[in-house]
Amino acid sequence: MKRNSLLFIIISMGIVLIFLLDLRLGSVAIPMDAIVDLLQGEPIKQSWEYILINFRLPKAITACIVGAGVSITGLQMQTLFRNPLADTSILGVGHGASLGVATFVLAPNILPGLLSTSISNNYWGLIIASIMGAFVVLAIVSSIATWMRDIVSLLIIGVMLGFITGSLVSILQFFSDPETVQSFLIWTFGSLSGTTWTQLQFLIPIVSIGLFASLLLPKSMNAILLGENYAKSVGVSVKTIRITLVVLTGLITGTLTAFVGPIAFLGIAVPHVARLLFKTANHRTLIPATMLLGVLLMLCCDIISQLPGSNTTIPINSVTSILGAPIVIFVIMQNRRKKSIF
Amino acid sequence: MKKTILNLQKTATGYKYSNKTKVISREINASIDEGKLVALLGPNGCGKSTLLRTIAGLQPSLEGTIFINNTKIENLKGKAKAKLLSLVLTDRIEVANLIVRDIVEVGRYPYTGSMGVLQPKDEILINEAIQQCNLEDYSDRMYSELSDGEKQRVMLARALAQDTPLMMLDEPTAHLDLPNRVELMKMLRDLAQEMNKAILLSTHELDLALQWCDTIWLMNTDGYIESGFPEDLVLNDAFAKVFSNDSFYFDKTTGVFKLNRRTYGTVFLTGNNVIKEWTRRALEREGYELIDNEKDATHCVHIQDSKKWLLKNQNKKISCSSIEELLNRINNLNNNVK
Repeated sequence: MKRNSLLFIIISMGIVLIFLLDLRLGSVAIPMDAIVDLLQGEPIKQSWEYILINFRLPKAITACIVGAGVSITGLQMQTLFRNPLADTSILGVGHGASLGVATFVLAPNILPGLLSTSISNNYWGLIIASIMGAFVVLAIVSSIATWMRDIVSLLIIGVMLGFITGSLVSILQFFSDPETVQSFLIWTFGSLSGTTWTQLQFLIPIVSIGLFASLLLPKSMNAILLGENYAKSVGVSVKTIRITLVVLTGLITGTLTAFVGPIAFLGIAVPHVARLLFKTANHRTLIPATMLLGVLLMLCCDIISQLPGSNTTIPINSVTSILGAPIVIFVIMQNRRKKSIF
Repeated sequence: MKKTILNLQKTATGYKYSNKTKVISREINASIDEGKLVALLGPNGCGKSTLLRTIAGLQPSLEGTIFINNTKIENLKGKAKAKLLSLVLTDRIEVANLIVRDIVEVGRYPYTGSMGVLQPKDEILINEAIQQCNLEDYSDRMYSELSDGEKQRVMLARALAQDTPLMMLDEPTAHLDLPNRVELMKMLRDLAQEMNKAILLSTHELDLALQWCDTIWLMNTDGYIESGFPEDLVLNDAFAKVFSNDSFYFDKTTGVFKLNRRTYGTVFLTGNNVIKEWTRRALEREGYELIDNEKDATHCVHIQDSKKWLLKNQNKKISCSSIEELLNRINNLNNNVK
């Protein structure tokens, strides 16, 4: 118990440190003193203040929210499907959300009767479309999972659903005009730096509700970890917790995808890192640990994506994939050896 | 008078599909009093697990009523039922990274709030359950690293922590070796008596059930249950009817199953009781029938002191120093006759 408390303290301090570092690094170097001054409300050089307030701060806050959100949905999917490799990106939930966004952005092009909207001025529409898309895929995957328990088969189905939604998006693009397609394509690259304070006004409250609700679930999630029958035998309603997890995952993934685009592999990797570090599968520890580690890792990914010292930014999705995929391979190999999940 | 904990009235179990109903067992009338350890015994596939699942409410019963503590279980929901009945199932727990205490804690879930925060009373009951199952040294160990016997004790401790009048275990001894089996059965018997619980376990291990259980629910292949004292069921041939077939039969004297084999010859055996018993086993396994009449026997074996077997066959006398040698000699003599 002591060891884990210490880990929590170290990770929290790490987050503060990396958060400040994330504000500091970029094409324009801003000294740490200035950042600390700004955060304390003291005046600093105007150009620095502009960069920090309008670009770096929203980006770093987005990274925190995305990190916590993506990681917790990964944990929720893994526990829900009792599958160590489940995650919103692998199961196609993120793709579903993309399809929702694509339909919302591109559909008016194809069906002229619909009111034309653009990503930049109808956030509610965008969020709702994205969440709906996520729910559709989650509903399909969950209903298949009830009669197919095999770990790998479920993942293959998720990947197939990803292909289907991907193709549907391509078809939508094919029939759309180049300008809308371009704005959609930029969106699909996934970027933390695109978020503005206006978008954060949507992102922060919605995802926070999801994160807060997730913190209330350790009991039920521990119970379903022992299997459906044992969960029922201690009076935990398996149906209720399943629906709750699906709703929370859909809400968080949908909202995040709407603003940041798909983020791959972080959702699988972070819960496993949390289990390895904290040496427990007990959700009482695992849920907060996963959130904090997610924040920390996402901030690191953000720093890496800016290639410190250069002016270019590589897509965040590529960074999370490069970091996350090896962890997934490691988990598969360990799984083969130990024949147990988590 | 003892309180009845579990009461089944005209219960039928089975599966309901959209177009047809598959009945596994019907007309089950049986009950368990507090402090009793009951074994549900029957051949594989006769519906033991289905009955347990039905009592546990994991699947609906087709007919009849099931009472736990005089409450119809159909009327109970989640938590209320979880306070009356705890389970140890055959479901494997595949999760690594959970310590024993984490799993035993789950037993207290019916009593905790929505966050599952444990009160001091819960902690006391968890510690007691861990102690009663001899797991004090294991409470911080990873569940996945334990042996099958230890894992089974963890699941028992979890059920115990649930503090219910009725406890049901589905084939708890299935993967255990003999010492672990005996330990578990002894533990269950002690729990039933000391804590006044009603414990129902399913098994197909006749000898354990005969030895340790107060009552046996004997289920035949058609899913009917005959309930009674183990010894009564032996004497009224109930076991013989359920388990016997063409290749083996139930021997009432010893309480074990014996193979129906053609006999190669008859043996008249005399001597020291312990050595005689084991010699008899070996002879019967090899297909010789023991008879009480020296004249009719093909072979006579006299067990001398100092562990020697004297084999007399017509006019020959052979002294053997082990059962193995004795049987080789007898087999040789038999082959020569043929």
